[in-house]
Amino acid sequence: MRAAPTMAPDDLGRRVLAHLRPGRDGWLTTSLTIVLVAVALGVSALLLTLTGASPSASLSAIWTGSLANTTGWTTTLLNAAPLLLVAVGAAICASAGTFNIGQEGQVLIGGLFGAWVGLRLALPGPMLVVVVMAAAAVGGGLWAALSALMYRFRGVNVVVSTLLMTFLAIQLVTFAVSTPWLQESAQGSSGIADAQSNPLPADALLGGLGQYPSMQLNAGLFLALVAAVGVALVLSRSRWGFRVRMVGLNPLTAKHTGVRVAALGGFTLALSGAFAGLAGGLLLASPVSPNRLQAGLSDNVGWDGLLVALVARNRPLIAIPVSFGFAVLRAGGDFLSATGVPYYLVDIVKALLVLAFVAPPLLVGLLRGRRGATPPTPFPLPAVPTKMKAAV
Amino acid sequence: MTSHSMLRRRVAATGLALAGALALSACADNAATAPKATPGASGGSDSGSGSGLKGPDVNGDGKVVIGVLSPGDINDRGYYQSFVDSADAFAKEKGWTVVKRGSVPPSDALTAARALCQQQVDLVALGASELKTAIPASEEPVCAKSAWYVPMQGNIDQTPRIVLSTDDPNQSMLVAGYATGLKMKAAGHTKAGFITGLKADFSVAASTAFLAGIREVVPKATLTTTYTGDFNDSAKAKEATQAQLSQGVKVIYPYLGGATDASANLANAGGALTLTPGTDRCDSNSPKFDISVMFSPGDYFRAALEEFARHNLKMGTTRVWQLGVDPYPTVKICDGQGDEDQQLAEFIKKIGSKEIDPAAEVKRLG
Repeated sequence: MRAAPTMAPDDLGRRVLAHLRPGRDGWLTTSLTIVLVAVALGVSALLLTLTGASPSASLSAIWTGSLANTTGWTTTLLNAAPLLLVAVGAAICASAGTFNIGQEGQVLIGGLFGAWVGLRLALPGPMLVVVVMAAAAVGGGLWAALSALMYRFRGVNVVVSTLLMTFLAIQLVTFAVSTPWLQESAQGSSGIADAQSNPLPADALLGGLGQYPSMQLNAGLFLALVAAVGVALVLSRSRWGFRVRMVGLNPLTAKHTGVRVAALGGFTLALSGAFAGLAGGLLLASPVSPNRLQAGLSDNVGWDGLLVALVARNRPLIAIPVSFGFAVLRAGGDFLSATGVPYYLVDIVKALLVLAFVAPPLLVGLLRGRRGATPPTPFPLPAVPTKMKAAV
Repeated sequence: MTSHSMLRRRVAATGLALAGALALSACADNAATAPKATPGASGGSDSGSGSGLKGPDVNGDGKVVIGVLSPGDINDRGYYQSFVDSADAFAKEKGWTVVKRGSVPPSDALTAARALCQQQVDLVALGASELKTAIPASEEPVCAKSAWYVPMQGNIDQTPRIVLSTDDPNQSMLVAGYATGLKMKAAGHTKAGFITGLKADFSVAASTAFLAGIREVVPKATLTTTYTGDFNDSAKAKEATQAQLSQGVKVIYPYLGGATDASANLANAGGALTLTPGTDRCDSNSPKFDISVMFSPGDYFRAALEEFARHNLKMGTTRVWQLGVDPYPTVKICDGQGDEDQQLAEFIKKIGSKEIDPAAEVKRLG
């Protein structure tokens, strides 16, 4: 019996990533983006009005909570750093044509590894925070590498496996903080311990780089900025970066030129997970969190970081201002919800803005397809799992 | 040696180093990293030696704003809502303003508290002890001009910047069980059910104390406890309720938040007796409750707000609410038959006079 023609999810992921690459139909995409952003803002204002809030007051609250004073700036910058790290990681594997959407879980596993090491290893001074960060990156990397191995040996789709591994990560961390693995020691007189770890010792925390005068700059921000610039340089200027981009643009050509496509793809996926894990370590060790491992530690940073990468079209340097914009929404959203506006409205505004930024290139691609233009990418791909195996 | 084999060796060496670090890390345990307790938390009706505030307008901006953070659904018609309702009602009387945010996850409590302080609230009130991770913000400059009110279940250490309010869950849950036992004995039932959200120390302790209370009256009683994983998920609560009804359970205690009514309605339909998780709802017809277990944080909060209004809320102190001594916590049978009310009142009185030690009873029977 003949099987019905289907599009493999990996193929779908590659098509989405192909449309999100920069430099295609610049003016049309830009115009469409401006229109859609205006529509998103209009719809957001309408939603706020319908729920009884004033759009101008809400905008003012977001401004006050994020940029109007040094406290707001501190909160915004603290939020920006982990988002940027996740986005940079997403950009690496997207450049190799792999769509990792499991960052939320990788952030959590990074936090789990970091907390385990930070709470159990008695290392002196700043060495502990370095080891915590390294362990977090290794944790996230290993978690993503599991998806790469599943794809390599069983052909399990990466988009699906990275997503499903997120739910496994949530359960694993919940279990860890509810059992003697990592549950806090009972506090107070009742002997009751909550489902969270003990706080990390002071030596395991990322310090501030000064107060200017009351704005706190955390070391995590500089770590994220260095990572973004470094990855941008490596991807655009190094031989390894060229290979990664070649695999992303056309794996067949890459294979014919001697690139070990499967190995490189798997490595970039693990690297992406490592950056997400590092973001988990950052959440754990910076003042943005209570410095404890909790089941909700990731707090949507993985998902938001992925959205940052999508809006930035997987360009690490563009991800810097975009992550800052998302951090403004997160910090301002917290302030806005403290005025009585439901927090979910902030999430809706965020989602609308992401759609406004991500949809235009896809729409332009659709328009080109209708006009009968040449398909933008050299698809369809070969039957990936078996041929990839042969290539290694 | 090829570059590939060198790379493999490096990777193997790194792996060994990491494995070594993890092996080393396994040598320690949680106790070694536990935070040291801050002196100050102790029993008694009012403990500590904190200083009174100059007035409810703590930050001196000419208005009084109360900020409430709650971990649960603030429209759950139960435990979490009672807290917000108390704040709203009292603020209305005094012409104050209340800003509130519900469903705050513990991981977001710290930033949510900072955002409240940025709003220049005079009092930050946490709706339940799950949000204790917000407390470090009380020490930060952004919250320097805010007072703090924190309900707890004996699991938070006192600091000079917060006022704690607590009761002994063993007391209210033991008495809830006792009242249930009276009803079960009259009806000849021996199977009870307890449905709650997360399997955490406090929910396990509540279940244990509830069973001990039932066994004070019905020694052979059994309790089926189900942890749905979520205090607000009505679908899971209904699923658990149906499962317990199918097992022949005749009393169901929905120890839940937003999912309470869904569970109680189903229990009503299945002919099972039900109890309230914190508030007096004897007047409610849909769902109908048979026993009101009142440990409403809203009642405690209102008392604290009254002291706040009188410039008498002292930071660095703990208010302990005693069953049988204070008006709350307490337990009420909605439609007491025969001498049930009298027996319950005597049991409560014995706990108040310390003739009965709830902790010992829970240990003996739970």
